[in-house]
Amino acid sequence: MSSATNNRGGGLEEAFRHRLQDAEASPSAELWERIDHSLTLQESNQYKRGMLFYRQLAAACIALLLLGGGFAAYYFGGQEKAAPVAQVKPAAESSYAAVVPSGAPVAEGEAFIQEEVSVDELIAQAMQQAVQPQRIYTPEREQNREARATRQQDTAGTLAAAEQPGIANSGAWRIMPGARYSLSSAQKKSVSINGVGVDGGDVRQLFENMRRGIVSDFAAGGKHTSGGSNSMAFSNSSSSPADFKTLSEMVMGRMKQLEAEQEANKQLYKQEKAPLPGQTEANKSSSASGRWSLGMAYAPSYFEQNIGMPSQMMMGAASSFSSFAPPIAMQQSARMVEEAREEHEQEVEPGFSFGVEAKAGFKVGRKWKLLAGLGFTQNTARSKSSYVIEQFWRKPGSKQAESPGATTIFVPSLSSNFASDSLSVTKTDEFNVLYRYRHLTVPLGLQYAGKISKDWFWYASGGVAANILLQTTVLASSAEVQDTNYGPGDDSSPFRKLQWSGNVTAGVGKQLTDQVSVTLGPEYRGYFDTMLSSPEKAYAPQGKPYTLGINLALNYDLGHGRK
Amino acid sequence: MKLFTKPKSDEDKLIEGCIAGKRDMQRLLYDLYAKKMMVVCLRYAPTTFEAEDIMQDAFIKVFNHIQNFKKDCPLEFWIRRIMINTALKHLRSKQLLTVSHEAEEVANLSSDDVNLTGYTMDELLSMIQSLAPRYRMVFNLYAIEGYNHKEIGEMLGISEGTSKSQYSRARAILQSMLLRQEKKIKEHVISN
Repeated sequence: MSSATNNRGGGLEEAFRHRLQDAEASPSAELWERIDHSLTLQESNQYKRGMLFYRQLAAACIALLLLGGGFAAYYFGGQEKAAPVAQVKPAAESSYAAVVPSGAPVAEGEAFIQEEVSVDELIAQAMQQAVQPQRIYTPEREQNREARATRQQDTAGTLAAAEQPGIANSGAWRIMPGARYSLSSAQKKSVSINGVGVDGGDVRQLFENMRRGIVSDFAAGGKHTSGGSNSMAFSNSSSSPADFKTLSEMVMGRMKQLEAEQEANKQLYKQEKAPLPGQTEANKSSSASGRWSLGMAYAPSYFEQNIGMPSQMMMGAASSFSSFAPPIAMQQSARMVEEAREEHEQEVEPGFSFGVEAKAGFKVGRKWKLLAGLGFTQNTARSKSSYVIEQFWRKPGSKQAESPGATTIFVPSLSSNFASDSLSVTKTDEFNVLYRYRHLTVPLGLQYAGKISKDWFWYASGGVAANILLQTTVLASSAEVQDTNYGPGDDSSPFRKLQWSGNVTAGVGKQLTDQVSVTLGPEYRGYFDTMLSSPEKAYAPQGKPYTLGINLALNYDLGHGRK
Repeated sequence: MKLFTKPKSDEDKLIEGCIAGKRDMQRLLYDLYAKKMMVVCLRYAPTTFEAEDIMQDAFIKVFNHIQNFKKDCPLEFWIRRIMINTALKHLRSKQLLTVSHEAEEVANLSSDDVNLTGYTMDELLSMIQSLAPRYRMVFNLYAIEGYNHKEIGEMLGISEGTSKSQYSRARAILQSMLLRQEKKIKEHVISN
């Protein structure tokens, strides 16, 4: 107890302590019921808060994945997209030409679209229109509009006419000041925009759907809902400013409500997290961030690239250049290629590989932890070779031959295009070849940990990782052999640019301080695909690579560490 | 892995069950300590109703923070400390710990004069409960829980000297009560 426990001199103190310190009294029977009820309420609130948190976490994960996916798509898909767009553009122009006859009647002040319009632009214009004050509706204007719509229907035109000076339109999708064109509500024909066919009604519908989607989130009831037909969309669009105002009010109202809820939750959380008597300030502050941890891992490993050598590599090559080379030379080349192949098969072996990762951990329950982070891996394999291979192709229309350079047997085996017009195989002094793959990794995993003793614990974890290929290099120690290097945007690279892998690890850890711990354990990382993006096109048989290594990690708990 | 772990005591299992939020284990813990803790709460609270309020809050705190129990002291002491702190907080929130200026007539008896064998526990509790809140606190903390005046001063936000003087006053009031009680008993015996 305290420093002053016992040995109180007075008889009064002693007498009271003797009688009361270990005395017992029964509380009322319903006291437990009250405690039980309070605990149940508390659990319910915690569950709600937990659900909210996990929803936010899930949203963050999805956002991260989308971001990563978008980046990957942008990064790897950008170059492929360029050509199709260029091909589509003339088609769009031709469809426009087909749709709009040269002799089609055009009213004064109206002009057909001369430029391509993006969907985004149209939506932006529509939104801009929605926030602008509406012009006054007059029957004359409506007649003009109807007449124009009729003419456009006759021409089966898909493009809207420009605004006539002084003529207002009630539709949000109608003509705007400063706008060069817009879509007529009466038109339901397709428009070619940026090479993509967009239906006039669809674009309007798209905006309408967006609007309806937002409104339905905030308001029950069908005040702002409208039918899917164009006429409905058109009639609704006349009240766009009012809708926008209502929408804004609803959004602001909802935001205020959310803020109030958040504040209430914060207060509740503070109350519940009120410190225990004797609990320190440090404990208080750490309880908020107790679930999070940061870690750094280093994993030296053995890497099996699982790229074999074909047993009949010269079949295609021999048949190809047999017509150009003398039979003896052909036989000799074939023999040396075979020797090179056998040598590679015997000499290739795993090289020193490693991976480094920075991870953030989030405790889910007492023993589970969700891990995500960013890492870098460098996987290598190595071999020895005594053969230099050079392929030559004759330029069409000339007798000149061109060659990508001298390589080892490995590079040509990665494609089915081993055949060449002539082949030079030279035997040299033995040299070393290093095959190096560098990846940027984005791991996501789950870890389970259990206690062994006060300071020691064991753990097991598994997860997946997206591996983005940064560089592939084949380095030869011979000056005669040209190094092969593929960058991330290199289209000639036969290697897979985005590869998924699964990894499992287990081991033991030691808690060094309340917040710092180290772990050590074997790690297996298996890739779900072959190294090559098109293994069926390669001579060399392709397997799925894997690494086997040791994972060393240092973890730092952001909260108060172990409990 | 179990080779490395010590066999768990019943108390460890109880604590683990409570940490896991198992209601039957929480009930077991409650049953184990409720009676003792009720007396603690009764000593600090002026009424049984308030004592139960304090006990309810304190047990919820116990279940919410039992994972912080380091096992460096007996579990009973840890729970008792939570009861005391909850009682202090409760009384502080009701502003019952303001300095009182009771002008009670106090006796000054020597310690040797005290004999509580003839009193029931309820009578003793009533005497303590009848003290002004501040006196009651200081008396409980010093005489029964065993804290020194410096610690009491820190807990109640008063100086050590104030704690001493308030304790002396509480002690004197209690002695006076006991004296009065004894006189009554004597008179009752003589009249009979």
